Amino acid sequence: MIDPRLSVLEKRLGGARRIIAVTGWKGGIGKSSVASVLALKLAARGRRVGLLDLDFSGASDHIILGASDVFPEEIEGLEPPLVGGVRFMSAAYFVGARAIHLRGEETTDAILELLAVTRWGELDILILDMPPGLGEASLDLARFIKRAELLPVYANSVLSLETLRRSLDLSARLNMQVCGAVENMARAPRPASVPGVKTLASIRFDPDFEAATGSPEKLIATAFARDLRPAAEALC
Amino acid sequence: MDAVLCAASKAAKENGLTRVDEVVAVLGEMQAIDEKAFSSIFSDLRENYAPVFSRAGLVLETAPAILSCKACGKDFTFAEGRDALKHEEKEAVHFVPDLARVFVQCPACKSPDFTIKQGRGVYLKEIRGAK
Repeated sequence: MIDPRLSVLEKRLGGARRIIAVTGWKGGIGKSSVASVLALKLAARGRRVGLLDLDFSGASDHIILGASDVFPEEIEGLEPPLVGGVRFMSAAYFVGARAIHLRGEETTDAILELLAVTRWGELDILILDMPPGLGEASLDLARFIKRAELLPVYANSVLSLETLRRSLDLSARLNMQVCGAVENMARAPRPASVPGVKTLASIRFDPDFEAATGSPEKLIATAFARDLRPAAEALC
Repeated sequence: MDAVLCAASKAAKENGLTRVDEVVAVLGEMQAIDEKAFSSIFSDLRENYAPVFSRAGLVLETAPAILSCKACGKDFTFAEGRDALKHEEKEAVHFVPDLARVFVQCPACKSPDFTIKQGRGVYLKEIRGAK
């Protein structure tokens, strides 16, 4: 038996010039906020951008972007709708507000299914919003999308930096490339240093971010988005 | 279909086939694929993939969906709960069968924690042809 999904991945992702996986491995570090706003920033700079939420159990990009009244169009697969200028795909389209509880291999199957069914077309950058941890999604990324570049998000805390250090070590063993890092919830004038990785942007806590959630127009005008600008410039 | 033809093309090339007579695919019940539409798309697309497929036929087999409850151990069929699903829920399972866990529960203990033992998706079973 041959799983045909594996044969079509290259074709489905072939139109994306770069694939950036926003990760960080630790939960609650701001991966989804960074992934969503980075996608909006790049789209605002005229780039063709796709965003795929791979955090099934904690899917939140659709809430951040306010993607409530859209659904992918079925044309020999699924074409993601434009949200704030970003081609956006998520399993949340199919389940609404319900929780998605997947076990190990089912996560791999769901990732493969979404990758195989989604027709991105031509993109300058496809951003993958990764779930926390080093489980299926991280390992499947290394297995199925070898050219993906990691963009870890971290905070200046012992726990976050230690998780980052261990995860970057594993990523090197998996031959994953790292294109930089983003510090979130920054308190110091200079970002905490991450050995071997350049911090592309340092984002301070933005008390107005919550109120902008759900509106691409408001999100792009936040201090959070302004702090993220150097990362968007570096990735263009 | 795109994925099946991609996989079949790759397998034909790897096996040095100069002519493919038949492609055998297994359709998992959970994806509820329309066999007539699937066959029709195969006929329309086959020549675009490679000349070796120009006269290839398609044989479809169906794998019934069997689910296994992780809580009580009972095996049950997807068909038992399918009729209770709304149209959009069936669509969700069609596109991503694993999302059945969101909508279906074990008929014995009502747990939503089950695995799909068989009948999940589409597989390429065999291609027959000449070298």
